[in-house]
Amino acid sequence: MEIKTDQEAKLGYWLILPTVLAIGGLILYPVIYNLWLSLHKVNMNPTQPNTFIGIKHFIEILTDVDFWTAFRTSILFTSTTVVGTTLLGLGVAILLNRKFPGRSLIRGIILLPYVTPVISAAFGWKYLFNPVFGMFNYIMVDVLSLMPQHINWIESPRYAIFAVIIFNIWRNFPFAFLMILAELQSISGTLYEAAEVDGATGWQKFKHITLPELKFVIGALVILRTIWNFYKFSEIYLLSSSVEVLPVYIYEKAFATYSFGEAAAISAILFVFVFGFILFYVRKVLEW
Amino acid sequence: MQKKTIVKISLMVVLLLVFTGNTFAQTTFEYWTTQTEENRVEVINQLIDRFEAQQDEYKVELVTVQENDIPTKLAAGMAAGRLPQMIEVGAENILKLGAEGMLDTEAVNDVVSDIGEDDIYDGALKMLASPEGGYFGVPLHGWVQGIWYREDLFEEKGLEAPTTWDNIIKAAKAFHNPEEQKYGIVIGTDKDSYARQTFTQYALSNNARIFDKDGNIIFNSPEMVETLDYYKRLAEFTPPGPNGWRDARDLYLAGRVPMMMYSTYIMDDIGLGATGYEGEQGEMLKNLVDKTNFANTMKHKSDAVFGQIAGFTFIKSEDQKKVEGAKAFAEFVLSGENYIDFLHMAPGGMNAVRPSIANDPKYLDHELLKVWGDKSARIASGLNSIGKFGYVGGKVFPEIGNITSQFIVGQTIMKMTESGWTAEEAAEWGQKEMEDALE
Repeated sequence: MEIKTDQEAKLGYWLILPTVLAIGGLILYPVIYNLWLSLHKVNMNPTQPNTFIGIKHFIEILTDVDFWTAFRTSILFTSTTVVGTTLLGLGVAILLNRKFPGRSLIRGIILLPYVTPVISAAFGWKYLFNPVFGMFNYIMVDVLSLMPQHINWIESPRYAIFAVIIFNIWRNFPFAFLMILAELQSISGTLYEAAEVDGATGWQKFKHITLPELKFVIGALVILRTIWNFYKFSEIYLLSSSVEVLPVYIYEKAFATYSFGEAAAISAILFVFVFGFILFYVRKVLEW
Repeated sequence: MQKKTIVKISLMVVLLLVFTGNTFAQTTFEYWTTQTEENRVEVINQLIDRFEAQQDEYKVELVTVQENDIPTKLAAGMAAGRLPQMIEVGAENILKLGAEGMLDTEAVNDVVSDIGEDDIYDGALKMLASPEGGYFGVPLHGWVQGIWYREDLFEEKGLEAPTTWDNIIKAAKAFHNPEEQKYGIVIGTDKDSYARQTFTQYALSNNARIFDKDGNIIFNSPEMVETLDYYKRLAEFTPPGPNGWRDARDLYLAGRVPMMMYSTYIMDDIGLGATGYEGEQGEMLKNLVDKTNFANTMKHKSDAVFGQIAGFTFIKSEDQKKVEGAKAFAEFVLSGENYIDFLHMAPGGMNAVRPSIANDPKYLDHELLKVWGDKSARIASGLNSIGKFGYVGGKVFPEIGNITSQFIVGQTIMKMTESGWTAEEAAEWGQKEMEDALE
């Protein structure tokens, strides 16, 4: 009997081996290689060796003003977009969670920004905000006279961050919308009926039934969006090269200044930061 | 008897395989070009077909890369140990590769001497020279930059040609009318190569340099501060926010600016209407060729012409056969009709670096070059007197590649135009960044 279990256990190990190898190769190896890079001065020329320099990169980065500027930009971008996409998604989901003619068509249209390829969306927005020919400037300045002059919303470092935030919220709110709507539809109507019998107002129903029912889906959305947007590169860089969030900062360190070691060290710092955030969030906010 | 036949047959098969095997074992080498436009890629592909039909030893694998992406793509390629054997790119990038010790300079020098140094413009060769003698790249084509301006509007207002600092800013001021979305001038004010290129001409005309003759960085010199200050004042007459080459092109063609800085590549865009080309037109003025003139020399303390030489270069490879193939292809492209076809993919923009071709009637016989008439020869004449930041008193400083790849000049300009810094503050910042870049 005992021999049999031992054999079964062995077989079990053999069966999970491919998965272990795949995960090790695809996840563990890059992480370890990144850590190794961060401790070296990486030589551009592959025929020449890299030099081990210990934690020098980490000290340099943590005392670098540019890093902290990029860090602040990243925090601003992540927090506003996470709140923005979630609230907009929630609002639209609640509005569309009732019966009206053409409902499925509208729901489909709302998903468009999320399924449009990012490059075409970015170019569309660039044109919309073009300082000379753009529709936005035309309406704000020439038609409504709300602003004194045309502004380069996309490229000017002062305004680009707002353009990027609005673009990101516009593009990603449909995901929150989709998740929240799915959850809304699973809330049993009897709960609301019972509340109405007790004389609850619309706000009270929302606060005491809808929100508690949505707690986990919103919690999951916030954490996913935080992770995704903290590492967001494409949507930001394609729209404007003037917004220096951390992923863009890493990219420039690695490929414009060729400091691969330093770039790897920044990634390691980000990893620790995000990991810490997730642990805190899951324990304290989600209470899982 | 049967055994013998089998042996004979097998022997023949083996021999056959050995001989035909040679022809099958073609060597493929990789070639990166910065010509990404579809019609240009088509021309290059035709040249490759012609090359492959002419011999059967080598095959060419073409990869197109955006000019601004070259530093990043090269870095990634170097790190991964997967570089192409042959690149066609601007001088700074070639110098940078040379400084990293990545180039097969022997191969480059072979091609230069096969073509003949006498049949390549000195100005072009100088841009690709190695500090240790010999060359880092084979010159292929060049462009000249300057101010393209609306002669008709200048005459209307009684303004003088924008060849001096005073004339430029006077004209920009006279035309600037942001209420109607008309602006004085477009110059580079973004974090890109275009800003460095337009700024360089002002700096050189004020004798301001990045390196002194010993290779020290002198970006905070009084001459440079003076130039930055002038550039900041001139930028007040530009369209809102940071501007790049696309703004310059689109706004000039649409008649929104009477002056902008651009390379000779604008010639085919401006000439489109005149050649009856019906392709991508958009909002564009009629008869722009006749209304346009080109000021390629900027006069201040000294005369300055800016431009770029692009060339072929070869990366060191384990497989010498591949480098041999790349050399053969480079010589093929630079010769006779192949070369003329290559240059005609951007007529006016790409100028010949070989005098024998520049004066060849076949080269001059192109619709677009004819539209420009005499102007086209005058425009190309600047090619021999190009000045640049990386070259001081006959010396080459390949370190400039580290500064250009980080767009430090453009960032310095943005500090003034977007964040309101003074020229002194910006120059000090640029000085420090450049020193860091060379560490």
